[in-house]
Amino acid sequence: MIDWPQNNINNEQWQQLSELLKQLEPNQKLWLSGYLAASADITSISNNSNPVAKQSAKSILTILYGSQTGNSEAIANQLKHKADAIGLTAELISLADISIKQLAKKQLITLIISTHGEGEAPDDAAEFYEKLFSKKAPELKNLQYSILALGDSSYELFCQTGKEIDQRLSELGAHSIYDRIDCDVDYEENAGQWIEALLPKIQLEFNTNESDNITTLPVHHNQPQKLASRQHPYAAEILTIQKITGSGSTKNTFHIELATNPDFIQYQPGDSLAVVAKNNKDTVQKLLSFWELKGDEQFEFKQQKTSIRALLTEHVEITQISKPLIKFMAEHLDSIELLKLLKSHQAFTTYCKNHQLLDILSYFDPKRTIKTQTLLHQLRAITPRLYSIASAQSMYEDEVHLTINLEAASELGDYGLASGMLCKTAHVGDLIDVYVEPNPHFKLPENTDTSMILIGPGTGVAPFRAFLQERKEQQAKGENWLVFGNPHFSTDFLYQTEWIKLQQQGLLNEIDLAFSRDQTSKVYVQDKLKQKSAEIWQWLQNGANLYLCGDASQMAKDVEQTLLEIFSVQGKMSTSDAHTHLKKLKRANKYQKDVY
Amino acid sequence: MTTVKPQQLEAVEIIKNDSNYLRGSIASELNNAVTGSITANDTQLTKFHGIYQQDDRDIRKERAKQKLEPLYSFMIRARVPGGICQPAQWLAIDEMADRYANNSIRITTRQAFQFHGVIKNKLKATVAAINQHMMDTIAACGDVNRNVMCTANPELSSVHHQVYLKAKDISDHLTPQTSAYHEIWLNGTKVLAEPKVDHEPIYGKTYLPRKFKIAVVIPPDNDVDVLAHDLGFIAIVKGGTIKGYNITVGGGMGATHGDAKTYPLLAQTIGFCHPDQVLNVAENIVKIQRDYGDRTNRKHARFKYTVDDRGLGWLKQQLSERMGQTPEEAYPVHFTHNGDRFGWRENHNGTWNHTLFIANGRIKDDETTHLKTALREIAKMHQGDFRLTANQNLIIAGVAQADKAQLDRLLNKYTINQQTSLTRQMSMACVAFPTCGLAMAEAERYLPELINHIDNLQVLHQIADRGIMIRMTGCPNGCARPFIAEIGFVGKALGRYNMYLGGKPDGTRLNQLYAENINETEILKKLDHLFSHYAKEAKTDEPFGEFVVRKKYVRAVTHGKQVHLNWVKS
Repeated sequence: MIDWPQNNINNEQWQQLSELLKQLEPNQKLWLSGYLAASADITSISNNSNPVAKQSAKSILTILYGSQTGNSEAIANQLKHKADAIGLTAELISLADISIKQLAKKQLITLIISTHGEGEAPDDAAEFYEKLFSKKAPELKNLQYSILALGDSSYELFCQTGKEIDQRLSELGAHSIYDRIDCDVDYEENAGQWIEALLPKIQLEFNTNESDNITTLPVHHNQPQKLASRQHPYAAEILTIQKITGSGSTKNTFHIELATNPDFIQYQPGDSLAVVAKNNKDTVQKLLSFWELKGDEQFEFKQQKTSIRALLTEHVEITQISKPLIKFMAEHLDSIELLKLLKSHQAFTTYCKNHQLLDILSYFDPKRTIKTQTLLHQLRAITPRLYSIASAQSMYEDEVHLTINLEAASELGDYGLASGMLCKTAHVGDLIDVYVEPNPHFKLPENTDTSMILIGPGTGVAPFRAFLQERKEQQAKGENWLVFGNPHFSTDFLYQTEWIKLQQQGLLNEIDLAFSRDQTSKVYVQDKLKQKSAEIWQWLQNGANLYLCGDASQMAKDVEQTLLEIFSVQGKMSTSDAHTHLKKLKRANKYQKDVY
Repeated sequence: MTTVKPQQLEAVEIIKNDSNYLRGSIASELNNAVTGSITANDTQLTKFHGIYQQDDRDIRKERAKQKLEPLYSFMIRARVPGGICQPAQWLAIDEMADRYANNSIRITTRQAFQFHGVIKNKLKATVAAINQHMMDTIAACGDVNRNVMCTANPELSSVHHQVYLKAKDISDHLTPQTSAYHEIWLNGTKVLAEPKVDHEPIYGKTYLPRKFKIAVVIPPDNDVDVLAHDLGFIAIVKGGTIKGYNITVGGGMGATHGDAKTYPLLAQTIGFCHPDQVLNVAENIVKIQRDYGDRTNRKHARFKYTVDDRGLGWLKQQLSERMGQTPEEAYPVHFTHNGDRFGWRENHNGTWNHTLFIANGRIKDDETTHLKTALREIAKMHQGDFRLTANQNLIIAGVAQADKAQLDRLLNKYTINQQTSLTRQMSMACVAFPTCGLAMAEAERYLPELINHIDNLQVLHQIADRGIMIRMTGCPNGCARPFIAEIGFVGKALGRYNMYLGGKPDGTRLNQLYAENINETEILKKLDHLFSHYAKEAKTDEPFGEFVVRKKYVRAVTHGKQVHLNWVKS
């Protein structure tokens, strides 16, 4: 039995807790420990008998600013200096750097915001503004705030953004501790007076907070549930579908955010999310039309007999072509062209990139000599699609982020099963079935002091976003080096602003970029590795872990070849020794990969 | 709580001071591959090198959502003293626009070339190419003397060349001496021999408190709007020779919306100097501004405020002390207009000039007109030179009688010499959206459309034969000198402008605020009314700017502080 600190929990509570703990699986306990630790700082647990609890959330003032010309920022700085001077702990955050979720965790904020043009928010606050006014904005009942609005009275809508935010915060349940002040172009004096008047109010908030406002730890009412699985997937709501390649890009890469309940969806950086998708109804209809079927005809597929429309929608794989299918068709149709596809794997994969079931049927068997039922026996069942998770649960407890590349449509205009659904047909608010597919062979180093080299071109960068989020939450001391590549710097630098921020925060120590098409000769991640041979070798010698994620067919091979060259040149070893060295790193989990 | 604001130096002053003669960390920032930008401090310094960091504001918000930084690019300004450029230089500029920039060239209101959309890793190559063709970018922006302007009219060629050489001398004399420019952009290789010591004999290491503009003009033309400049030299020509120059001081356009302490000013005449004194006068005026300009408030740092606050008498004394002699009495001068003369005109030596109207100075090929291609073809055959005018137009100058027909064929082939309305020919807009970071409203992309409506109104009221000078800027900094226009539009927000009336079309009187923060419908409604009145009651040859003053729509402005007054309201 654990020796429980007496001054924190009484006997009765301890009994209840012991009962609960007995029912928990080890991974649930692990999660709970993290959950409690994380919630301790956002939930006020002040209690007079507990000296530690006095260090509550309202001992920090969050100063937020939205600035176009720098005036708001200057006032924010001034407020911070004044607050510091009288011993109030204050943090300064640009509205560009705070999400609504993060805002909901704050207790005491003051917001300095200007208005531009015809009542518009400053550019750096535009996204915050949009989210604050969206239907999904959370309640802010625990939030106390004050606002200083800047504007120009010669415009029709004077200080509009400040006024709107004031009203919206109050709608969401936040409490104003001091009336908003609207400043004109000559804001200096008013702003100065505002600061002087506001600080005592804030001081008062700091003091009262210590004696009242006692709330208790939230009791987790939910009974421990079984985690979502392939048999029992979790219906996750889509929060965000955002294309993250810029206009003019040849790529269509999307950032998807899903709302998930941590009772059912628990994941570690490196894990994948399985998306259980149904076939697109237009694609299904096109197949039905091809077969001249209405859709309600009964057919059999894998011991299941139901309408052909239901089968095609929910059970049959129609977006991917398998080798057995081609083999069957080649023999049945006596097609040399199809036989050729079977002989060369390269030709097969190239063909599969832009051809789906309907493409192959309508081209090779336009007269429908193969009966629908016969063909159904040759087809596979739909499999869930796996995506490397791009977020860390330590940072986004109830969300999962994905980075998905929407490949070009097939010849007849159809998209991939899950990518087409998520990036093309689904809408924010839709529910999709998901579960976590753990990947124990792609994990952060256990020792947070261990450095990491992360090689992830294209969407291969997704898990590294999760890795770095986790390292940030862990306050890990190990250094991090990201190697990323894509066609163009200006449009295809996935998550650019986040990497820049991590770099400024000292979390991303090295970054190397290979934009293949920004110059006449193509440059890939392996070329960057080669340029940094000595440094790579040095990092590995010093115990860094090496991670590789992304395309298996070409990139991973090229990178491994380059690693071998680096080993032989830098480590002065023979080719076979280099191979052995790479294997050794793999066995010791110093080199991990997630390629597909 | 009333506290006197401490007289702290502007942040830019610290940046200049710590920059080691304009180096900062520009060189290392150029190699930072993670961002297409440079640090905020370095953006202040690159201006001195003729380079402005900008971003495509049309897609700024979209890119923030895409987790991409703003689409940064740079504007590079190439100095062309007096606006004279040789055909070979034109061809080089034309090619650079395609290779490094956004396929367009812009003639600026200071007779310079401007490239937009140059991305960071092409900056060095672009600056190097400009220098290779005997132009430069240093001091094209920044707190130093900018491109020195000069009357473009080649018909005055007997004296023009001497005046032009004087403008060039001033430009050379006031060019910063720092070797940072060559070090950063040209890797130490030099095209022209220059001293390598880092010492700024005229500026010192913090340079000037604010930008400084000089123009030289030959009356009766006032195409350069000489009174809109910090320092002006008005050539006094007697019997075909240049006797010397009247000196004008303290002009400038910039203001801030809603801040009555900022206002445009026209320069005042302080005296006369002989040709050999010009450099001495220019150097000492610059030094006076260096020593007395306000370094604690950039909105109050232009030379015009130094002069306005301390008075002309003070300045005259300062200048006399520094030069060891008092400036002589100024000559009377008379300006007739501040526009350009379009089409073919003959020079005294029998050669010809063709002045082309270039809408807002933008040279590019689009679906309707292949202006850029046309000018490239012309440059290939042209034996004379090109002159960029202060009104963003282009003079193909010094065409021999024998080449005239061929040039005409090219102009017709590409249909670039089409007749446009007189009002459009006199119009001017700054760049504004999407690249200029200061813009609050559209200018270059919108003015042509607004003028379509205004043309229709003029036809309606049968005053199409009266050209009215209209200038539009996207912010009150005044790049297109809107406060001198007969009708000035200064952007306040997308689709909204302050409307100013009553500038004198010879550039000698500022206009005054007539309506605030109005949209297109309101603009056209007001103009409809004004034009109707003008059509009925204007005197013969009475310019619109004079009419609105006579009819008291606005007052005749005698000092810049009156520009913001709204006659109608008060």
